Amino acid sequence: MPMKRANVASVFKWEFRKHIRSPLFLIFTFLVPAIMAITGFLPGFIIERMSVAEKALWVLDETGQMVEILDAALEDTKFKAEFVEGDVEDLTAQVSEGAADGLLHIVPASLETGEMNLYVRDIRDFSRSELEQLLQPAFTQYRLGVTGISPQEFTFILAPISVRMSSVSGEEENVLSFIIPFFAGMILFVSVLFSGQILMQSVIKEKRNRIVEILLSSLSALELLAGKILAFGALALLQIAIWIGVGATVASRFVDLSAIGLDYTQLLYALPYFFLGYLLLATLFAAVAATMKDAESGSQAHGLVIMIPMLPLFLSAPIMMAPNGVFARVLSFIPVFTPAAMLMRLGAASIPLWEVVATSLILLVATVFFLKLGARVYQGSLLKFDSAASIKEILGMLTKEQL
Amino acid sequence: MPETMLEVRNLSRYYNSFPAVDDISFAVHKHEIMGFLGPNGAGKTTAIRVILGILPPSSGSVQFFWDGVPGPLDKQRVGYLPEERGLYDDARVLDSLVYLAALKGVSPAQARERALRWLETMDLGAYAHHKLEKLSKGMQQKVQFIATVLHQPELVVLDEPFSGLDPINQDLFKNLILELRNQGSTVLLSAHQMNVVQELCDRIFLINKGKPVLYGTLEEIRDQHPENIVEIRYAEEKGLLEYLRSLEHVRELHSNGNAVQLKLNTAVDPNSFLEQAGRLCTVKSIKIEKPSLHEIFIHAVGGENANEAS
Repeated sequence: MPMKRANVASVFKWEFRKHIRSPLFLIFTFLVPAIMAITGFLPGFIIERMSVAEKALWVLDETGQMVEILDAALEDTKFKAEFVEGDVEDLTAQVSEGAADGLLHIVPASLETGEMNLYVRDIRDFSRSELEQLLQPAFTQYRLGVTGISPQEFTFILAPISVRMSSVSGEEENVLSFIIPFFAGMILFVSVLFSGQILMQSVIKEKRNRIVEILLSSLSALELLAGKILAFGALALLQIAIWIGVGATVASRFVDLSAIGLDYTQLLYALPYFFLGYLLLATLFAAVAATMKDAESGSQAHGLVIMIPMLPLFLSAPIMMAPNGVFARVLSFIPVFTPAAMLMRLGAASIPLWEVVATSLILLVATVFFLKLGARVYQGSLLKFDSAASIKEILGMLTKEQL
Repeated sequence: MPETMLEVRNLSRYYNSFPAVDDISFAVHKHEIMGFLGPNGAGKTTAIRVILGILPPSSGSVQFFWDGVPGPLDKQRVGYLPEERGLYDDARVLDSLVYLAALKGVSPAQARERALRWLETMDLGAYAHHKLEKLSKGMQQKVQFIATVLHQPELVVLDEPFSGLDPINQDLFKNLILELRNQGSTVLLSAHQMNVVQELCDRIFLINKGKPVLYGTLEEIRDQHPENIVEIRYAEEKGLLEYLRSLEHVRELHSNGNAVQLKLNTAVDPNSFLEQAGRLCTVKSIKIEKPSLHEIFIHAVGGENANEAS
């Protein structure tokens, strides 16, 4: 029987209207990103604010050799150096009373061994490694001076190096242009997983409250499945649009987005992976949900299903390190891994056009295949109200003509 | 000759190798209420699901005659109230009704208008904008019934519509079903309440363990039944009980004071039976009648399902 578009449209409208007002959608669309942003940025912000606070650092240089060099090295840093004289015990007593935040004690042996003591009022106020990084060039300068190297020679020796990278095609390195498509891909993926979760719950609920039998007396299982998948896909797109819109508005206050030089071709390439990946996953979610008896087992099954396409995300390090390596390329040609692997690779490197076309085609064929199988399992399992479908039964649905 | 609405021919449906429905054939006439009966697990719901295209048949055919012409199922012209009931409990009553009517091809405006009218008829007008979960079970069943008939279907399939209803709502539903028939719909009714079936149905089709058992009008079925119910009230007994116990064609003989009830096989000539009985007691009254549908049901499906009909 041919699919009736009016039925698909009715299901689409119902599901979209019903779920756009659902607390789950509203929470995930607005609250979760806000919480993620807060938890992601707030600690860093606090640490940054704490780390730039000025520290009054007394320096007791018993050698008298380091005053000038250290004064220059610590200039324009948060450590405000003040060179003091006197007894260490008296000075540390004054530090403990709040006269300064810390006392750096340089003894003659320090020039040779590089070892010195730092007495601080509150150990959490100081980063030892940060101070070491600042002191290291100062001591190197002193030691080179002792060996007779002139300041000009010293500047020459310590001159920093810089590697500028560009592709032979003339493309220049732009970290943000790679990171942003990657993050866009990840946003798409998270959204797909989320909408898949609501889709799954919706299928289980319709089965649990028995309305599915009434629905199936009005339309086919495939029409119901198609309407649902399209509705949750539209919800996912809306969610992404909100995230990107809000994200770009907030980001534009801190960064000049037009100067980033976004590679829109990469974003364009990402679209088929998103669309087909969503269809493939949504079909899997709906089919798995239809085989379940209740929401609890649905969540467990959902966890198992999302593990499959999520696998490349767990293996993101090797993919990102070698986006055109054998491992990443092989993963890209396995349909269930294709969306995640390709979204990551598109963010990390330039992918040959033939690979984009080939993986998209493989994904398309696999998606059509999964849609057909998924619809069979969906139809065959929906009326099993009192028990979950067994593996044997699911295999029967997949292999037999009759459901 | 009545017009046919639905014709089921040699229909079977297997689950693996188990025959849930085993070679059944029957027809439903236009504008009649057809009783589709059987004990639990007889295969009624499976047969209904196959008829409505929810499940595919293993073999056999289902044909509809929408405008007198044979054709396939048109889901928009059928209303179905399943035994396993349910609606969207977290959605508003009116919204659910409009959505379900839209799936049957009714425009939202028309569905809205009809739904509000039906809700008023069912004394549920005040609940149109309430979520279904806020309604009592009886109210939810009324909403479910409205969803079944809102699109004015030509064929209405009701699977156990009276289960869980109190006597007042049972009467309400009975009247609604009769009203549907009077307005021109055809009704296929599956129910366990034999008294209601006897009251409502023009014809019945009884299946047991997936196989057909009885089929025809109530009168035909009662006539075909091999036993009559006999009740004799007497003033003085002069060997009647002994005579009755000796008869081969008497079953379930019950004696109570000055009365005796029994089932008498139709093979026995009623005239000679009455003559002999009259000689063996002083008769106050004698009643010989056809059995009720309840009796026929129990007889037909056997003792193991005897307590399922009520």
